[in-house]
Amino acid sequence: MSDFLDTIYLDYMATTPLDPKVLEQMLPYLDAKSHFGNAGSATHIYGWRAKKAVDDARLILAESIGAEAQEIIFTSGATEANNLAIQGAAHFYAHKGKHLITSSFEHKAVLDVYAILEKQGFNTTYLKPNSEGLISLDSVAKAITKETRLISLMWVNNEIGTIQAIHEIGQLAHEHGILMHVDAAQAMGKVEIDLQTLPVDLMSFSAHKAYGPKGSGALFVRRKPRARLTPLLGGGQQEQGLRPGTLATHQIVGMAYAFNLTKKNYSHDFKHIQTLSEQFWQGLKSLGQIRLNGSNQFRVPHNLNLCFEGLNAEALSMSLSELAMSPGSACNSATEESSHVLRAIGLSDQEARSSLRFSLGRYTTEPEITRAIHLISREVKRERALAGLD
Amino acid sequence: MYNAIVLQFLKRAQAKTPWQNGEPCVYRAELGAKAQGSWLKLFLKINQGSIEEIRYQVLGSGYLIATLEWAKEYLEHQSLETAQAFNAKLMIDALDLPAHRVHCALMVAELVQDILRELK
Ligand SMILES: Cc1ncc(COP(=O)(O)O)c(C=O)c1O
Repeated sequence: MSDFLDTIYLDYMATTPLDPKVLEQMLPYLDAKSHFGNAGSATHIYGWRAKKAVDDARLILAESIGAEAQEIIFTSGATEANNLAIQGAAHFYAHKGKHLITSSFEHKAVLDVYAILEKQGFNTTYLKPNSEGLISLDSVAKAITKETRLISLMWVNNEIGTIQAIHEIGQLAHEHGILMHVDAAQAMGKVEIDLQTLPVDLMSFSAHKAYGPKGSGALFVRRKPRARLTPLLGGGQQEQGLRPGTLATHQIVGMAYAFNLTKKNYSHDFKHIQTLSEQFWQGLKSLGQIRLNGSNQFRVPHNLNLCFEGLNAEALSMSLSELAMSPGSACNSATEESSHVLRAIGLSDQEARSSLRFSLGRYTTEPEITRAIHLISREVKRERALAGLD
Repeated sequence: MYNAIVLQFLKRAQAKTPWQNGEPCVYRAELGAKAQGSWLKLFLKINQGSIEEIRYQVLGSGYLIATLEWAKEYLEHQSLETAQAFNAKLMIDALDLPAHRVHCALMVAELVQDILRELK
């Protein structure tokens, strides 16, 4: 087994490392001699300091997405934010209608929530993406009924990196008085986010996809017009009663700072990743019989989901132990099923099993990409020769 | 976490041009289908009661490739009697195959036994 520090990390969609500058901001809130207080302690300086840190973080995070501080609810991640948004809205507005729309290639943190709501008597529609991995406005329009209360769609797909037309779909939702929720876990740093202009009521974020700490996320809940939610948990009045529990000061500070940095570095990071991604794709394309899954046009460059036609992706990824990437989706790699996303965009089981996801990030370097191309080419040629495919 | 022995044999596997039909002393057997993503073809060259050389072609998981490579290294230069006793359990134990990968060893064992049956 190679030393893992020698392993080239190409799995930024699964998670990103903490930016060292983010860590530096977090440390004082983990230090026994410093700001360890409970933001809910209103009677002493330890509590006041923690509260100030949380308040500042809320403002910084809000500013980085074009929102107001009171519109941010801190959670343990995008999974919890999705649950709060979808279950919370479904239940709050259930008396007005019980139909909910989403797509069949969402993250499990949305699909499983819809399954829970179905068991509770809600009606659901799963929109099918086209073969490019895009949801058409037309298909959303056709799915809307008088009963529809919520549309939930992801902005950037975590397996194929395709970008949905959130602006247009949100507008359509609002024309019908329907709430729009967006899972933006993979969007932070990959597309420009400005909630001042986006017709979206609820948006989920995850810190660890944007160089922040794991176990930290946020839900944007629009105030004007106000999106209302029924809380999932009972336990206290924190986060306007929507998310009780002592606030994780260090995590919140880390997330806010990470999002702020991501916004500041947006153009620089984007250009860097786009250049390397293009180099990576050109390097591999020359091997032939390799296809890019999902739209070539409406996608983020950070992600390349590639189908190595006729080959077994698992064998490839095993023999590429010097590279860290994912077969299909990271979240599914413990199970044997082929990816529901790749099947949703029309790939056969066999094609899905021939696909690997490579994702690049802030710390990916050109020598790493050059080496990755070399290693992948070598292994693809070896596997093809073994199968008598060349 | 991948098992280190499987990884070692997977990385050792190298393609060799398969023998043509009609090549003397070569026996072959095939299992699975490329279109289904799991296929293997085994060639044994048998000389004076022992296995002189093994070649194979394979499309499948890393576990399948590793199992086949292990079998090749184990059986080459062995007598046909040793080969008769060759079975899936040997591979499962040697490679420490997890339960959901046991079928790789079953497939390889079946191919070897197919060829030995044909020889008789
Ligand atoms: C699109 C999407 N939504 C939700 C999540 C879950 O986020 P978290 O790990 O913060 O719960 C992920 C991460 O795997 C994701 O990619």
